Amino acid sequence: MSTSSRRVAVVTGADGGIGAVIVETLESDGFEVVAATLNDGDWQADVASERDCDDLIARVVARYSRIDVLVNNAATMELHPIDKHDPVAWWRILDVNLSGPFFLSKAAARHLRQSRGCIVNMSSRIATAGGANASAYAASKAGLLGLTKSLALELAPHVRVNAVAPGAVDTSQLRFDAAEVGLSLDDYRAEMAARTPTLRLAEPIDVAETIAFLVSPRARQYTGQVFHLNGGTLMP
Amino acid sequence: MAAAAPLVEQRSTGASGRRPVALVTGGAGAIGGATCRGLADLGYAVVVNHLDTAGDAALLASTIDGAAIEADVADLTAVEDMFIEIERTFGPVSVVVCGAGFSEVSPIDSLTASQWDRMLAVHLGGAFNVIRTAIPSMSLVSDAAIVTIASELALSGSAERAHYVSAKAALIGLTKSVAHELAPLGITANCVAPGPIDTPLLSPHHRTAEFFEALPLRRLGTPTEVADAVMYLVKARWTTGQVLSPNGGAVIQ
Repeated sequence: MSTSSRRVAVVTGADGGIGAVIVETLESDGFEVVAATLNDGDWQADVASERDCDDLIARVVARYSRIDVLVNNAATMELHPIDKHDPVAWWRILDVNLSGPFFLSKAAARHLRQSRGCIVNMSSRIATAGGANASAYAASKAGLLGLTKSLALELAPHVRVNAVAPGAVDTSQLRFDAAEVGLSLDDYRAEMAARTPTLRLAEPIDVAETIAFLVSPRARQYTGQVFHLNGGTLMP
Repeated sequence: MAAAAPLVEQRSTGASGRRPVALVTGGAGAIGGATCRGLADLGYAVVVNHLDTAGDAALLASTIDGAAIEADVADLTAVEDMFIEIERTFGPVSVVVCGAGFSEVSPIDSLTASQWDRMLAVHLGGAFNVIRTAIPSMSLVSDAAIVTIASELALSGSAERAHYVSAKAALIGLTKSVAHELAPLGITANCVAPGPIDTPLLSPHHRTAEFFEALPLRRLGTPTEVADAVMYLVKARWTTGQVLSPNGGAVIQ
């Protein structure tokens, strides 16, 4: 067993458009980053599986002897009309997006208490605004806000727990969203930006820098909070 | 395949055929009961859904000229069977109130996956199953309304209830999404998020002097006050995707 003098951050969904930038940003802030992914890599884990989550946390502790930060970023998104929603798809979305953060938070809780660490959960604008055909996704991301607030109370004063709720972020996912409404990627990007008070779409770095702030000592008085990152499209 | 129990009784002689139909899941409890009575007063034929409380449900149904039906809302097949039975007996459903649920306290460290799954399956999955199954019926009527019952704790968070609060907060996300989605059909979807209500299920902590001191309105809510919020949302035809939280000022946001 080795130990790390650097702070250790576990980031799930680390190979996604936002996840990869979170990993880079935390590394440049001096973290030892465990980049957890669903498919390949050294830190493979399906967050929908409690066993995988327990195993991931155990492997991190065996390797580094500490966990300072958990970023629950892994997620899945599917659109289904509610009356035709396949229950298997419904629960898969809930399992990945909501149960996954529960399993990992539970497994990491005692290590985070020891390190006086923090958790950041990746929610979404849709958690607060809702979205047609996105009932499972919205439920999962809204449920994550409930989990965030409850764990903020329960793990205080040792562990801070916050959430980030981005609106549209300029990642490869945007191509699918554009196709969904029959627009080219450039036209869709322009239309989304025009509808946003800041006249721009969020980029992954905007999300990553918000997370970097939340896990830094400068955010020591923030817990149970939801950071809305949407350019002013929603002001709850 | 889990079959829904047959409707206990339809007492009305003919008039019920013309009454709009309301289904209240978890209808035999204190808040559910007040909601059933409120809907009956508004003229609905009320179906009291319950699980393992046949006596209470039948008694309530008999006093409001409604019917009782047992089904575990977490079981999609049981919910589908329940709707077949309701539609056969009463006709299409106009109002569903998703109130089935239970409370449980557990620290995160000892909260098991099965506790977590059951909590989500009943509160969130139950509403998903009921709403999903109700849509064909609700699209046939005018003034259809869905009301989900969440909790003030979904807004504020609560220690040692990560599973309960996550499920209730998720229920709000579900409600808002179906509000968007079903608006073109004229179906509204709203949520009531009650604070501490004077029911047998309330924990002793909520009855202490210290708790009342901290609560702005200095008293517990009554089941009727929750039912009043439900009635308002059933009638409010230009209101959808909203969360109404009668909570004595416990959460002001």
